[in-house]
Amino acid sequence: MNPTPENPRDPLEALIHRTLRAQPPRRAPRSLEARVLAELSRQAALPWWHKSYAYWPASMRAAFFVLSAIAAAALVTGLYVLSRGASQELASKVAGRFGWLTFAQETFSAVTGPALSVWRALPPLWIYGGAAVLATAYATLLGVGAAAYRAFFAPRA
Amino acid sequence: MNDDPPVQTSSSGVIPPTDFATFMRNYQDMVFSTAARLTGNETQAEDISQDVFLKAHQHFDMLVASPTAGGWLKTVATNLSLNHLSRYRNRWRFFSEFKRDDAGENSDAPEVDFAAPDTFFGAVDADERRVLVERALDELPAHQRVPLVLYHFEDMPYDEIAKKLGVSLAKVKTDILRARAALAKIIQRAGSTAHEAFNK
Repeated sequence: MNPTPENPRDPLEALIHRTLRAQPPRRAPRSLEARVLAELSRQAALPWWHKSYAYWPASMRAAFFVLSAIAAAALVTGLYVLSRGASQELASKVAGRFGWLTFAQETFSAVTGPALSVWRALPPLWIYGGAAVLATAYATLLGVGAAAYRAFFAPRA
Repeated sequence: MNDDPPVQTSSSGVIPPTDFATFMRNYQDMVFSTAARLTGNETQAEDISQDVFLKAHQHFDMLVASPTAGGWLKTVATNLSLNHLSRYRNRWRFFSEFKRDDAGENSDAPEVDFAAPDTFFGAVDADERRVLVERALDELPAHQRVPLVLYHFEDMPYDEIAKKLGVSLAKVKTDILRARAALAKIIQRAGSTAHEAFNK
């Protein structure tokens, strides 16, 4: 608590303290009350599924909990059954449905393969030189931006 | 620390908060003042005040009969204002404070020499005085205004301010020292201009 200045021998501290403590509160804008009440009405009008979980009806929270538990149990059981190889036929059916993934992977490799070959053929000096030029350009841009901000926009004490 | 009484009163005294609108009317000036003095921006202060009252509405059952409701609101307003400022400070720190950050660590920071008068204002009336001081506060840069407001308005000790702002104790002391000197200069300049206008 600072009911009086910490350093009573400092006349400036005492004067600033007196001046600031004599300030009445600033008047809140007239629009504040209307804004708050409008926002409260808007929130109250929202359906329960648009609100956070804490505001859901108790029955919905209980139902959500039970359904989540059932879903988790089904997922764990399904993974267990698949991992034990109990249904190889099911696994091959599922893999067949996702055949397009293999195609996508092959296409990606065909596109990136040549690019990787070019990259590997580049001499290391070119790579380090390019990285250094990029870093210098980035630092220069940041430095010029900071200097311009401090020169033209930064608040001054 | 913050057990301020309601700041808006009816002609018969403090309005007992029977509903949320009345509760809000009792405290809105105090909440807005706290946010406006910390942020130095009325638009941001209004947004922060709205958030404070939306939080208060969630705890209205507890706050409505609580004698420390004012303190609760002031603490929430302070924290939300500091959160708001730190979001922007982190974004702009490199541009605006990268040199000033180290100033507080320097134990031999220059002492501010300022001959303080007994009062800043001569024949300036109370309304004008209030406006001059608020404007002068708004003119201070955030890294000086925030610790100054926390110290002189919110009664927060130096070490707690340092902890809240995540800076060293030395920086807080230096910033407050410089803020007082800067504020005094701004108020004196504004006060003398107002005094001259008054005497014409």
